[in-house]
Amino acid sequence: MPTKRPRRTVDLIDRRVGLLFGLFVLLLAVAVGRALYLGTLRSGALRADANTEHVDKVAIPAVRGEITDRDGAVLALSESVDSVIADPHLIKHPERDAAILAPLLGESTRQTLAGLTKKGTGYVVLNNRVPAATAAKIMTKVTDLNIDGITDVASEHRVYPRGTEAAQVLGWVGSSGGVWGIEEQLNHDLAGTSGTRQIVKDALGQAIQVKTTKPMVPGKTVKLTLSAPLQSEVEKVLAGVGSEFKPESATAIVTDPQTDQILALANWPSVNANNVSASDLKPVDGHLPAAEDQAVDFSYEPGSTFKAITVGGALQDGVVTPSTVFDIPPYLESYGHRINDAEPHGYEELTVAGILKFSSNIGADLIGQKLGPARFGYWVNRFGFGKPTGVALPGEQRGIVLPVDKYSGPSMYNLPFGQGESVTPMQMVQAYDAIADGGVLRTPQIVDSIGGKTVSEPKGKRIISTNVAWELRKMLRGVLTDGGTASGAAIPGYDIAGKTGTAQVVVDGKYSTTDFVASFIGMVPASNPKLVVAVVVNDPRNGVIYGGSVAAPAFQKIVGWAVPYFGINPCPGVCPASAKNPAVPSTP
Amino acid sequence: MLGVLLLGIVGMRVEVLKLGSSVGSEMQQASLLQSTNAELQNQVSALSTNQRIEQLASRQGMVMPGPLDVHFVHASGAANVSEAIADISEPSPSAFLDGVVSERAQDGQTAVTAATTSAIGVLGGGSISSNPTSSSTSGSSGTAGTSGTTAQTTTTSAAQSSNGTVATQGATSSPPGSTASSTSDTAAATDNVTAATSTESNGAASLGG
Repeated sequence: MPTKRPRRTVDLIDRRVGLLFGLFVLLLAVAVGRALYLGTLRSGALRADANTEHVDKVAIPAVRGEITDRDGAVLALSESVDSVIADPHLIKHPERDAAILAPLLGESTRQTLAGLTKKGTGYVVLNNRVPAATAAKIMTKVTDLNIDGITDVASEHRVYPRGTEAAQVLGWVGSSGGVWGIEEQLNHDLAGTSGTRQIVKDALGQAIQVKTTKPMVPGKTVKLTLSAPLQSEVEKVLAGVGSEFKPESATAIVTDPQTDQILALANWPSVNANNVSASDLKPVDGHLPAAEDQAVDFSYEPGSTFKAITVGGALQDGVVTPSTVFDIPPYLESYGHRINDAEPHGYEELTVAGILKFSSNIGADLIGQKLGPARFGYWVNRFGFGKPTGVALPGEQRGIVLPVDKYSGPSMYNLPFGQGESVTPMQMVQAYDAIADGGVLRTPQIVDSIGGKTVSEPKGKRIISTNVAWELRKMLRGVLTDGGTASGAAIPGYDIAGKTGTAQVVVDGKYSTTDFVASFIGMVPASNPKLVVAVVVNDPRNGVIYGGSVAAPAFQKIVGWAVPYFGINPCPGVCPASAKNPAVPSTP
Repeated sequence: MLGVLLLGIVGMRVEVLKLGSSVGSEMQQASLLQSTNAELQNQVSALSTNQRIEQLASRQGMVMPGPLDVHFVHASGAANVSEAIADISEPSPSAFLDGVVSERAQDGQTAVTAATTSAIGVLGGGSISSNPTSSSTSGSSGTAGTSGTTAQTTTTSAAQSSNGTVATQGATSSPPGSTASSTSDTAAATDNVTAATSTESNGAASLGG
């Protein structure tokens, strides 16, 4: 039989249980209340605190696209770098910290200490080009040694591994993106889009969750049509021109006329895109010779190289043939001015081919007069002068070409031999490319592909017949034969055609007798050109001024290197007599 | 049961955190590698510049073929094809090994000759030695290839010492698609060695060095 507990004892136990229950309920209520308070009323502030302490929002800078040559050699790329920043207010042991950080930052301890102890600021950039791997080491050290007040911010640094090579073509990058050249022209494609990443860290600072809140889109790789080895060689040749003739500036362009792709485009003086100094951006006569791409940014009167255009139009219109003979007087009177040839002569007869070979200004004028102003103006436009070529390079000038109705009396005495109109080297190359490519004019191409997508080949338009183009090339061969204005530029066994130009520069409204632009544009092999090379030298200063003496030798060196390099047969088929002549020094 | 479930949830949570942590470090590693890759690309591009390669090559006694050193010979269609077919013989391992041995011996001799020439150049100067040797290919890529009926022959690479001594070294190469037979190539190469040696001074004169 169970013994009965006394009634009083049971009541006491029940009461205690009830008390405990009540206590628990109370505690639960407090906990719930606290939870509600923290989860609702304080939630915003607590979330903000947690985010500050444990969540980092990191910007992911967009990696700028590479620029490569036609064979993939990298001409421009971006390296990830970090800026290491100090808050001097939070630095407790500046001497110790400076000694630890300085070697990693690549700075002197004194310099780092100066940064860490700088007064009146909470933001000191200790180094803004620390390689990402080194920055990671620094931050590990900072965490391990509990150094407060040191942070790093990722950024990128544009590098041009080949320094001066094609610098004016590539351009460079400023704080707002590309500022010159391809960097500027294709900034939208190269730049990409920066992203953001959220990193949740534990109490020890270790990342426990990484979330990409906005994906970074890297810039596209831009592949140019340039050939880096040829570019290097052309720059070497131009540097030689620079040191020998001390010009104000010089430019050289090499193209494949069959595609109008630019294989090399060099400028002198050169500039190192990795370190553009203030002197590089110093204007000379309103120009920036070191920074500007002279191939598109330099307008000049082309001089005798333009005679090929006059003759081309006249041939196409059928007003002359290569063997048409002209009576060339010693000079022409033009409204009070005398038009002379470079070398004095008496009355003589020259064929059209001879006019080109000996570069007769008077002969070109007579052909121009036979053509007439209207047709001459038509051919100038037809060959692409007076408007930008459309090449994908910024700052392209359009040149100055008078409309026919604005021609004055003397116009047809100047324009046919390349005086009075203003062109860019790129326009001249485009026109000679057309002559080389059987009469088809195309926009020169410098961008091969963007982001792996091939840029479509520019459509061409026929401006002269294949036959006229061939006749022109045959006549231009004569320029490099004995007695021609560029005979010294010939290479035995090379079938070369080309034209010299020596143009006076207008200074204070008059043609200068001391300032000239010397140029040479040629092609090889003339029977089926694979290369067109133009060399334009602005204001050569050592007393030699003629295109045949200043620019043609540079052409010769470029061709002499490029033809074996590309494996071009310099004289396919039956070599013409002009290619067999040994070169003799030219008579300008 | 509840305890097991709780333990499971906690365990899963820990694994998720571990995973997040490893993802974070992997991403850091990836960006570090990308950065290193960019640095290396920079170095590769800087190291492969023409000027540097030319300097290194010139130290080894090499120069770029001059404008007159590359020759194209005409392949005369069927005649060359039948000549090439006639030259085809069954491969012989012993002949191959003999060839390797003689080639090595020739290489050694070339090095000795080059050293001797250099020494002669330093002492005397003005002498020319010609020594056609093994084949090499002239690097070419790009816009304009050779026509299908011609063979390209690189003949001379001249190493010129400071006092004017010239050593010539014959080398032949045929681009892909060449239809010239090996016999005609060899013959052409021999001709071209002579031609290049004889025309070299002209070329140098026309280019002003």
